[in-house]
Amino acid sequence: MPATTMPTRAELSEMMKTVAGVEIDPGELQQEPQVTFEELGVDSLGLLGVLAAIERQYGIEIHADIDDCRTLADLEAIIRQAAGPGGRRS
Amino acid sequence: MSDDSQRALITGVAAVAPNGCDTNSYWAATLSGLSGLRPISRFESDGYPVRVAGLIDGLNPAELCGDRLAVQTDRWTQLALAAGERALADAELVPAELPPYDMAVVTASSSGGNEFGQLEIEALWSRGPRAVGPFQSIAWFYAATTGQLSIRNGMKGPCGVVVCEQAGGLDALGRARRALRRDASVVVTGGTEAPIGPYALTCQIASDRLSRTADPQRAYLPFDTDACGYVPGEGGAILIAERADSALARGVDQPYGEIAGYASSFDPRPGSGRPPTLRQAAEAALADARAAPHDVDVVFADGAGLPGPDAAEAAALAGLFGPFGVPVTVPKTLCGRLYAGGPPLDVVAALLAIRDGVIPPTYGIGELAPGCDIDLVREARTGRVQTALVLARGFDGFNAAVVLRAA
Amino acid sequence: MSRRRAAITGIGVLAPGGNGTKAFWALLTSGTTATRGITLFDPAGFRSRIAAECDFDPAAEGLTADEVERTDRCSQFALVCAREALADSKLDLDNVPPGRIGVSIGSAVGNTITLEQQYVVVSDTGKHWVVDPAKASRHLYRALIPSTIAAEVAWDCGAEGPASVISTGCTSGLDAVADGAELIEDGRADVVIAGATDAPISPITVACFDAIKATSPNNDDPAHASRPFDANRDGFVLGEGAAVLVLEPADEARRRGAHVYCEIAGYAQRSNAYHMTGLTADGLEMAEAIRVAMGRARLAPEDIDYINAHGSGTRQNDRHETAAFKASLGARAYEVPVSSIKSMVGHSLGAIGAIEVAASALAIEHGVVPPTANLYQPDPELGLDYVPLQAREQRSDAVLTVGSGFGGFQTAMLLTRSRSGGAG
Repeated sequence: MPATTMPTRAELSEMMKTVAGVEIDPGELQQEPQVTFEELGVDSLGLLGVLAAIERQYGIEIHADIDDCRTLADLEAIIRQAAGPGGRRS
Repeated sequence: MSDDSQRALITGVAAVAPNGCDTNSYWAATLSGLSGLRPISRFESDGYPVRVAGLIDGLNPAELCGDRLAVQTDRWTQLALAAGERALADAELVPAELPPYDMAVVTASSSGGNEFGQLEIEALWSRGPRAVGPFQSIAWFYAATTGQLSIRNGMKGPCGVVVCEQAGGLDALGRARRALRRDASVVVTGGTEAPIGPYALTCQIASDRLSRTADPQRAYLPFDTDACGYVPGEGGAILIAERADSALARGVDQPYGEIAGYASSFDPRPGSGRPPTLRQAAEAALADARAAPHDVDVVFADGAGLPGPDAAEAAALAGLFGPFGVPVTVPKTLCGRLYAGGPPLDVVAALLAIRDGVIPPTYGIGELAPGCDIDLVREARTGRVQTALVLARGFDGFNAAVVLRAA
Repeated sequence: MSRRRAAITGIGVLAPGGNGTKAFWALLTSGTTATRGITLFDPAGFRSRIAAECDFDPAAEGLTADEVERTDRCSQFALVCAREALADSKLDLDNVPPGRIGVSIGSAVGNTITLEQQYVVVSDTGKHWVVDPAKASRHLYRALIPSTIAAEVAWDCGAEGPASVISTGCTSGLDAVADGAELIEDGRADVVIAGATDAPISPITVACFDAIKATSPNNDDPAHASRPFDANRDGFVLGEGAAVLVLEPADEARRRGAHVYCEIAGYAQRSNAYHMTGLTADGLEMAEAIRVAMGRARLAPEDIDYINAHGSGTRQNDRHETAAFKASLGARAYEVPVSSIKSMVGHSLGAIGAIEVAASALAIEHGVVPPTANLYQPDPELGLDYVPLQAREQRSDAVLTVGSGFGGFQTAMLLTRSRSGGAG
């Protein structure tokens, strides 16, 4: 189990490349947390894949509606919520 | 039917074959005898009884369709996306310039996204259900290629997918022609196949129809006394079928040809005592084209590569055209049987034969099997080619025939 | 030259909740649901552990040991339904030249169960990428290719005309029936055995829908999990099954004194060209398919008496489809009853379109509109009459049935009461 429960921007960028086939510079993620995944070219299926990869890697379960995950900031909020008390997979 | 404006023309083609990754190289290879049959190198297949396949080397997924699509598609779809793009360019057709509802996509498939599926099913059984990714739901199923082509090109017309093993490759064209009469002015059609993954190959081996010969030059010999099975291959072709009035309006002055006739049939149950129906399908296609057997300049045969089916096809041809009554050719000896991709590739070859006035030869065949009374073309034959008949048969007894005519 | 219309003269259905057309119709009209915890395999570890399963014993349904050995469950379903449909039609196929009998069967995922079971064997449960051909069943090739489904049906009824499998995802069933009707209309066949089948309840299919959260995770209450048009809907419930119809030219059917359920008056297919799984909220392409189908059937919105919806029960589908009805039918959309039988028999992917054609034909035949089960809290955003919970007696002369599926396929079909000699 990783020490932290929040993927770094670099890790997210890597996931988006391998899972969704979309190349995003981690620096770009850093600067623009409000940019939408749609604008980045990551569609809903790709995002589901990224969420699943995060779930597997961090041992958490994400229950949020994919429609509520439009931006990187949304994603990080969702992960934080899932990793919080009661969010860990039993 | 038919005033000329309703004719179904082919205005663009793109081949992607083991012996040529694009149309020009495929045609050059077909005429010169360059083979794409090679020892299987995709995976460690030493223990497999099948040693040879028609392989397209040197095309990676990202090259074929870009990273974003590459992760969500099987190679089968990637080949079709790349060929689709080239076929549209060949037709000088920019989809964004036509009304979306006027354009459709109809492809054939036989084994779908089998390799993508094998990856995901392996993940499931070795790592658990949660290891299956989000794209399995859209990459393996037989409609994936049509769906992705439709999305990529903004085509909102009547899209379809037909599955009849190898015969489906011609059925797609038949359906495209039908769609042009009712609903659409342009149909992206044809098909591809990518059946050389381990599980797909294992499935094919079970059919007992694949050649087990290790020498690529001796492995697939349709109509030959040494016929010993066929070699499977990957690839196919995408064609742009277009209604004549639409082509005219766009200023297309040199269409490849016309889909003048199409028909299909199914063989009787084995053991019923009734004869196979390939000949009926061919006759019906000719009637549909208002053509007589003597109008046909060349037959692109199905070429099963097995003694029984070869004899049956030869008998059908002799019955329809008279013994040695029409030039017959099987250019697929250089690339293998490509299932849903095979007949569209044959159609491209037939259209280029019409365009260039040359019948491509059948390479590698020695002595014809007894009873195969066909005029098999052994060397490229120049001369006017006006009308070509293309035949395809699918496992279990599907038959399809298309008549192509110079436009 | 006027096109000769296809008439439905025989129906065979195998659906969850009861085998055969009679049991199927009884289920629908009673508003009972057939969704339950998955029993076909152990669903532990999956997100959605419920499905609408058929209780199917191939031997009891008349299949021989050889037929069972060489076919997947989906082909077995199709065979049983084809036989029921032919018996129902009372058509003597011996009087029809074999070359004039066609077969058009839809299937979205083909022989999935066999492919998965065999995969486990040849890969040693996923341990080897390079699987072992020596361990494969001798019938395995027939599992790789879905075309075997049409072959089996063709052999069974002696068909030598055009035969094919249509595989357009979740519209396969509607598209296969449409294709069959087109064969009749074009004069390429005089009888078409048309329908669809899918038996997708297998780990890989359940897992792939889990991965995109498309199926309902309401594992604690399977009977109420499929809730199309409901405010609390949370995905579709995977199902299995088949339906096969006998199609003949309407005039010929009447001439031989056949019982005609209805005619296939018009159909059309369009595509979203938007996303492989996502749907826009405006439903415009489905609306276009509906409009074109109605034009071909020469029907106006006020002629539609019942809409058999796709109604899969996902949040996006029901919204998309409702918008399509409103866009294509205008004010009439608010008057005509709309229901989804997926609420009762689940979503059997490629099969359901044909099962829904059967339900629509039966709605015309019996003068009853099946309900949408589990509709306790209609979604206020949607706003149409979805026939909640209880079947409704109503004469229907024209029924619209629609389908929508992955890849963006949208299909609409109109069924109409036969002019004479039909039901009622």
